[in-house]
Amino acid sequence: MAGLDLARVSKTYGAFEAVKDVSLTIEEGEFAVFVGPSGCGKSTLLRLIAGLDPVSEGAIRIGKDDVTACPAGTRSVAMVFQSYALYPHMSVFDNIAFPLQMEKRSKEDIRQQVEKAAATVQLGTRLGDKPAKLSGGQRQRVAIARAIVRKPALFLMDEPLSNPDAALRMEMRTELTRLHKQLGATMVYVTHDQLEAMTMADRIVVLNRGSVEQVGRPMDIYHRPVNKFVASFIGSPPMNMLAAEVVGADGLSVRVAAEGLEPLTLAQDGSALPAGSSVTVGIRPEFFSATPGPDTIKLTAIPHAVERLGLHTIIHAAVAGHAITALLNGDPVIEVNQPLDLYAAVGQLHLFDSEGLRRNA
Amino acid sequence: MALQSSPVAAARPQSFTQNWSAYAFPAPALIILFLSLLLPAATTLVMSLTDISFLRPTNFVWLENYIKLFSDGRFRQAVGNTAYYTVGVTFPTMVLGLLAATALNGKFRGRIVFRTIFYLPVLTSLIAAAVVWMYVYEPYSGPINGALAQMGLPPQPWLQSPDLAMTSLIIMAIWRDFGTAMIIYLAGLQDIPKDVYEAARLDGAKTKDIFLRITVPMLSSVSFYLMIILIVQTFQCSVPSMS
Ligand SMILES: Nc1ncnc2c1ncn2[C@@H]1O[C@H](COP(=O)(O)OP(=O)(O)OP(=O)(O)O)[C@@H](O)[C@H]1O
Ligand SMILES: [Mg+2]
Repeated sequence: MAGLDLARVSKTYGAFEAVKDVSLTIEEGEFAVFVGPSGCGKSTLLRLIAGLDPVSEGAIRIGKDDVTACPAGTRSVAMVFQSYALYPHMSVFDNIAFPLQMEKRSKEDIRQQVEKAAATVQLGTRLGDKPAKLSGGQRQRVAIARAIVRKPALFLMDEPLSNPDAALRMEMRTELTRLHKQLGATMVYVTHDQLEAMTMADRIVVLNRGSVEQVGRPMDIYHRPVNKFVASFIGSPPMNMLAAEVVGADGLSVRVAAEGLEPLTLAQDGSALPAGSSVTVGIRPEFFSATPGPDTIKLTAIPHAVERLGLHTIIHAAVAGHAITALLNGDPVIEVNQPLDLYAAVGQLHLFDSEGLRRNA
Repeated sequence: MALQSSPVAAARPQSFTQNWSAYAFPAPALIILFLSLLLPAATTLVMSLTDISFLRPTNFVWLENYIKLFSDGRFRQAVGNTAYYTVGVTFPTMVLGLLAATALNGKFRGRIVFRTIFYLPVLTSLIAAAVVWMYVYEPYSGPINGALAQMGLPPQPWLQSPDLAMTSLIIMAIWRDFGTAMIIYLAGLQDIPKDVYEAARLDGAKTKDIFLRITVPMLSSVSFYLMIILIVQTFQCSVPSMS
């Protein structure tokens, strides 16, 4: 077990920078999730950590060792590939045993370790089968068993749950979390699914275009996203963004006006937001309510589509011509194309400046 | 099988008149196949049981021809030579082809050039190649004996000596065939997913382990196919008795 430390790591392919100046520390035993849109460099970063590709710049340390120049296979890192990358010609037993065979362990030792790893992922009865005979979920378990059998310092997983169906995905999510607790291992998990990130991570690393946008605990990122990108990427449905203008600001408050919104005063330092500057007000769909509260503002929306999920109702509507999404509890009566008053708690509003940076206190 | 399929057949009786087009379409190919392959093969088999000579009336002699053949020492030697030649060509060709394919599968400058050079012998005419090799093996002025002479070794009668001729022929055949093996192995290598190799590297496998534990076994069906092709191809140039 060991932590991971990236210091100013960059990776360029020709003129294209796939990973830009990433510095990051992951504590020993932590479950870190890299999340970001497709093509943002998550897999590239993982491959740099594994040593499958050399870094263009920067240093990587695992535990106390600088492994930047160490080839893959010498870093005490195990990886679960998106495709599982099982050895198709070997039995499940040999797949799991392969890393130990490479260490030239004794036959008896290998047999014990393989059986233990297989039992951990509940695969004990399939050891004689070839991977082709297994279901997607079972193949994934083989891949995980092959990773844990070696007791690596660090586990890397590249979107391991993108193939299974939804039910299996949910099951594997719980299982991976359990496995992480049981092994106490340091894990780096890559996904583009913000739900996986929120549910599994101790800490989330949000990546965009090769750079780290924000690192933090799931609830920190959810409640205090540093910028518009993170705010709209984390959370589902995504945060509503309304273009607004600062009408007055001082050291204690900012007054903001936006089309379709009641005049709004946010209690925060507004000295960096001169009157007249354009800002964005962010409202998460789940913080709308159909009834006014003690400190709420009113929006008048025209709903054009309603999705009823039982526990929640998602309303797609327009506020002064801008599309918004609201998520209300239960299944309230909503008439399409009839004005609907929605209330948002002022304390839950986010204010982004013209650069997209969040300015709330 | 019969039990399973009979209800279906009973439910939809199909007469020849209904299905004649299904027979008609492959008919031309089947007729040609029959006339050019099956008929001659069957005729040869029947003829081998007779004393056919076109000068006398033909009589069935049953296995007499075969008995004569197998009791002839030269025939047995020819079979032995052919087998030796086939094995001697097939397996080194496969090993060399696999090594060349593995070496040329990576991305580096000049790999296309090397692939082309290695494949060229397959494309050259057999006669041209034979002339070149006659020159290479030439006992007095050939380059091989020239090189031996430079090292102070005695020249060898490569094609003339009964001991050396077989080896010389095998070397020439390997030179000709290994381009084929290389191309087939290269195609096979392309089918091995990259991440399987990466997984093996992460699992601590060295280049040698990866080759022996991943590449070779994952190419086993390609190897089998190649072995059949090469055996059939080399077996056809039956080697008469030498010595
Ligand atoms: N070998 C390579 N050569 C050139 N460009 C590459 C190479 N590998 C990756 N890239 C580029 O780097 C960028 C990041 O790729 P990467 O695979 O890391 O994305 P990702 O975040 O894992 O996306 P996804 O969620 O789709 O898997 C992409 O734009 C990709 O085109
Ligand atoms: Mg990826």
